[in-house]
Amino acid sequence: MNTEGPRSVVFGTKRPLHHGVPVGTTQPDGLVERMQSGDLDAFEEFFNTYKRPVYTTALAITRDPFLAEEILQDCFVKAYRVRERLRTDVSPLPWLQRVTTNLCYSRIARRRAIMEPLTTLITNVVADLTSRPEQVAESREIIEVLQRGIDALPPKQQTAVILYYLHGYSLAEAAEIADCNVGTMKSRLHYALKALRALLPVERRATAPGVRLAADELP
Amino acid sequence: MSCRNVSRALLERFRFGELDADCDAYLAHVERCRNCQDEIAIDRELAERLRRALRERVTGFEPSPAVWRAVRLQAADPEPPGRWSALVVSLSRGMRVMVPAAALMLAAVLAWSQPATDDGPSLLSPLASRMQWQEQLSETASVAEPEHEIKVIPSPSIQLPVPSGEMAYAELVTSIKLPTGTPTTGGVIR
Repeated sequence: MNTEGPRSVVFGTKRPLHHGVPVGTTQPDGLVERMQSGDLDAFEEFFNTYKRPVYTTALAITRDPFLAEEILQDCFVKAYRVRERLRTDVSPLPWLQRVTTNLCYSRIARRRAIMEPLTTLITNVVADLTSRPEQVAESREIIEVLQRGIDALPPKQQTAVILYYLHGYSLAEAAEIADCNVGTMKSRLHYALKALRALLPVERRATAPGVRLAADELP
Repeated sequence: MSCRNVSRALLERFRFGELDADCDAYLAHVERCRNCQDEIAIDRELAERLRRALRERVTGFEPSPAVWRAVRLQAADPEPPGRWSALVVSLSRGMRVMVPAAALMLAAVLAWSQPATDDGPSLLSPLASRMQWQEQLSETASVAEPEHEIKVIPSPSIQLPVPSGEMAYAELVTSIKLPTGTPTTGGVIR
């Protein structure tokens, strides 16, 4: 006899948030527990520990430092408000990154149209200040094409590229953050690279001198 | 094994560093295939440039210290209501205004469509009630012809004197000439 009744959805039921696999960032001992007890100093430590990767993700997606700060703020306010549901046995970073990407894509649609000219200006100025002249001369054109290509990627592929190539998360970690399986993450990365490669000028798609796969690179 | 069969699986294995014993067949093909070697090299170069482009987006930026102050300030606030509770609250606020307004409108419509009659309130529909009321109105509005001729009294022609100098009120009143037969009461023209 089946003793289980029909499943019912109860609104407001608290469920534990799954952070997924641990990531490289170390979590200070008992930090989340202290935060859960309402310790604001612990919350400040939590913020300082994880603000950089969260801000980096937001900035890489939005390309707008002001919007990235707003998203960083909203992400940690949300984390504090749901602190009772945060798991203490794994790093909260994958959960924070997932919240960040969701916040980015929910806001980017209504902000991008307004902020694009300013963002482009800021990005160009910063790039010019931080890059060496020989680097600018070497690959400015390709980098600009790639920047536009990254912006044009579908959100899921864009997130995959940022998590894997910018943060250096493993496939499993990136898949956990993006809430998909590893095969799907591979597929998103494949199609993202394919789309980006198609944007490059034909002469740039050919192998450049010195980048040909050497025979000794083969295992 | 053709390049077409090799391409994606091979690229992904090189891309994600998943070369193991199962890759021997792929590697044997790559060792003698110039096109596949080029594909892998281009993929590596693209990945490296992609990393550079992404780093360029975030290099030189740091979140402002003001962010933490804002986070702390907001975190100290009580949690805002959720989506469902916010919806219920807004609906209840709306109902406070809408229910009396709807009741008022209903009362106005009923009053308009239901004329006051001596035989109590009508249970007819508003339209039928209105039609019936209009019929009754047309019947009662018809005036019977008088049996004798009504004498029309001409309106008094009042000739007001031109004010000249200081005219006393009594003089002004007595100087007004009324036609013969105009009813007067104590000097007040009716």
